[in-house]
Amino acid sequence: MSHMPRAARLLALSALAAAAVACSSKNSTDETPAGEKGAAATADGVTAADRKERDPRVFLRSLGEPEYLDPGLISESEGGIVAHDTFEGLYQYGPTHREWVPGVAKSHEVSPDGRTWTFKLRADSKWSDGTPVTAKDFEWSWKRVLDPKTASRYAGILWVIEGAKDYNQNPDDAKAAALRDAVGVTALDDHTLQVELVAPTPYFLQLTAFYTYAPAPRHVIEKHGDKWARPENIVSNGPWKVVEWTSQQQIVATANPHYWDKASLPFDKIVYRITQESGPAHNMYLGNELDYLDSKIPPSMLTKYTRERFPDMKTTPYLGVYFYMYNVKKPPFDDVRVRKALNLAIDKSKIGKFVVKGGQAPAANIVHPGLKEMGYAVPQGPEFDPEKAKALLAEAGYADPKTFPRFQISYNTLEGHKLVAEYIQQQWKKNLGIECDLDNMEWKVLLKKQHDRDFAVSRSAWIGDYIDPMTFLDLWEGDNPNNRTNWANPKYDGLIAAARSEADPDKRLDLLRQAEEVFLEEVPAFGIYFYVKQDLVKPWVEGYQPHLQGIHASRYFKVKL
Amino acid sequence: MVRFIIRRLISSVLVLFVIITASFFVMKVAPGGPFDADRKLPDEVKKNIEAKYHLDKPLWQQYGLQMKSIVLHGDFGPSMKYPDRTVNEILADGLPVSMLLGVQALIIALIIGLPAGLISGLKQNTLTDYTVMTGAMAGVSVPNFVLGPLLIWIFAIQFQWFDAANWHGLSKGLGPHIATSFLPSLTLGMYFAAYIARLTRGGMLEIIRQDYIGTARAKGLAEKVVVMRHALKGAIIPVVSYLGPAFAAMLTGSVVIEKIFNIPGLGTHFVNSAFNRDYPLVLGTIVLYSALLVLLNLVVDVLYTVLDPRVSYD
Repeated sequence: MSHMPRAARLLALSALAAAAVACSSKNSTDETPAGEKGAAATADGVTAADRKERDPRVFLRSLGEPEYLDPGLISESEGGIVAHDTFEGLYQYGPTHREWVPGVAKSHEVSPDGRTWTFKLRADSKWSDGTPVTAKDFEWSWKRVLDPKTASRYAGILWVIEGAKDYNQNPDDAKAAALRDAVGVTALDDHTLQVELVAPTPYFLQLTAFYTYAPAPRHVIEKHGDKWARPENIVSNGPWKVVEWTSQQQIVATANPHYWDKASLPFDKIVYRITQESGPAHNMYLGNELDYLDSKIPPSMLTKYTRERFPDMKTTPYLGVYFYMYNVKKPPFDDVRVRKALNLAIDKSKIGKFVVKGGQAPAANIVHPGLKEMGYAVPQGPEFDPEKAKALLAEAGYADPKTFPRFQISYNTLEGHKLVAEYIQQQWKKNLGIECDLDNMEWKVLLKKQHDRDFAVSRSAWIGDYIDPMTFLDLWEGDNPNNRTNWANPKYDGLIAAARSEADPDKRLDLLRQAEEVFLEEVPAFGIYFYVKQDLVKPWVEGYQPHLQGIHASRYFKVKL
Repeated sequence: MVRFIIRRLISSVLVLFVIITASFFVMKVAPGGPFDADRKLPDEVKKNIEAKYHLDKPLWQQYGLQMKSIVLHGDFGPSMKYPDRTVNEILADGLPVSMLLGVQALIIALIIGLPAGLISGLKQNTLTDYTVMTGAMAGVSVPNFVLGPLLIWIFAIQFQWFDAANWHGLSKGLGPHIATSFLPSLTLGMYFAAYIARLTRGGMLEIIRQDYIGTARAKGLAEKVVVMRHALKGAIIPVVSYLGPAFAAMLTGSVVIEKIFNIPGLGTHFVNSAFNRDYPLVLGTIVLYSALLVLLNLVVDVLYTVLDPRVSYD
């Protein structure tokens, strides 16, 4: 037997395996024919007696594999879920998005110009090894995140602090110490933390609950270095502490014996069952091996659960927008009339019900309408109007749609994205008579194309980091690295800058609204739908409440058997 | 024989070298990198991360560093997606799981496949034969991504006899392990059981017509002895030669099963590391799988000589 063909076979292997899984994962998760029939038949009559785990002080929730557990480095929601249970910032997320609860801080004061925040810390907050948590821990931790050598991917969320951006982006080692000292966070004493902000930032309180702002244990990091957040070394200051992380199986957290409010905790132990796909997670839920299925409902089951009003399913608004963006330097999309026309020609009202099937609200604007609650007057975006769309297209010189250059919609390979793209392709053909092609690609390939501005029309989405319109609007500033449309508008940038330095909250919101109106008039991108979050919660679980940011910390749940 | 094995081992090392080299450059050609995410990193931050993993160095230098680390220390370095863990740790966690799943599936395949093939072969062209072979045909034809969910629906959700997805390994004892691993092992083993049944039947039909079987019968041996002592050994040679490739196919084919049943084996990493552009992990899984396949093929070739006196490598 010669060896070369065998080597060649081995090389081909990875491609084959990948192809096999590409086909099968679709079948196993999205279109599980078996799960389809069985689900409701048993799930309907399920009672607390069916729960496999008999101890009500143990909470079983779903999770995807986190990248890491170091709160300063986490940049994805999975790690965030664990961090919100195991670390505690100055403030912490409440049971709903309307409240923030004091964490390590007892109280805070804001200076009249809105730029100096002084936090009073509680004296009884301790790390899980018994060491007290002090203001110095916060100062050190925030500076650690900003240290360019830490290379934290979410460090940008600390840039609202004076000097933070300069230190974080500094390439010169010689200047590092001075820049570090200039960062506007100072421990005045063990229990007083003073923060200087670049501009009045009304949502700063919320940010202190975000995991990147959580304290990290200096004494443990200095001992274990990069390996400090591994389960055998990790020390945290939240209600629970990670004791086990078996990759692709589970993370187990047990009560932190030194937590200042441990008497109020509903669970002694939290088990995060890790699955990569929604199929197995959903199967575990049906098998009564999970109390709470966080998002992972296979798309094929959504329609059924919605139709049958499955009582376990909770559908709540989620602070995210799904949008299409143009490359505004690429003709014909350099013409604002074309950009407007294409947006007007899509009947978005049917997408939530018939295309993505989760009851998502159509997006006429770009800021999530949930922010109305905080007093933001969401501007009315344009409604579906095929006649006006045709007129605009004719004005732009395409009275005959056949002359419109054929272009591509670029999106990453996923069933949901494909359905939306097909719907939009068909809407443009039907309502305007223009043709386009669908171009799907692997996620990383799409990202590269977007970063290189190598696309005409492309799918994207944005999930808000905090409850404020700014999280959706600063995205479109000309120099924002996440604005991939080539669109830069001085008027828009001016309004955002003005809003940023405005101390009066009402005036600030008004400036932001004006900015959004500019955006809607210029259409560098257009919203398609606003996200919803869909969870399954067993009947024996209490305490689930809608949260716009989808943050459901374990401390607000309770299991009643 | 020893010379043959040594020769094969040397050529295996060469094969692995070619695989590592080719994989390294192919994966670097793929667009995007491990740290490209939906939210673009500030350039300085990205530079710092890349420097940490030597991605800022020229390609040939990266290749040199990687090769040095693999050859001298057997170390693939830290994973880029899961920076708390090294690739070696991830592989060491996943390999035993995939192996255990493969071994269990193989045992199930043999327990079902061998007797089915024997009976079928001995009762050629009877109703039993047709029934068994129809079953085998179905076993080969039904894809595991249909069989898996079907078994989950029946036995994990309807009857709740087994767990839908919750691999424990042997750490929690044999009972819980069977509850979580029986369905995936069966799903994985089914195709191979069917194939083994067909091979055994074919082998049996060929052997049973051989002169020496006639001789055995003429000596007046009981039919049971003829079959078990004389015919069986010859009949299962095709099966034995199939076991190596079968086990290799189970290891690599378990990718799908591991997804359906959420098993923490190598399969998930094999696929996802490529999507994540987690270069060290991609390389690690490819090298590990290749080494296993090369080794299994060698074992099978050696086994031939033991089972079949007609084969000799000297």
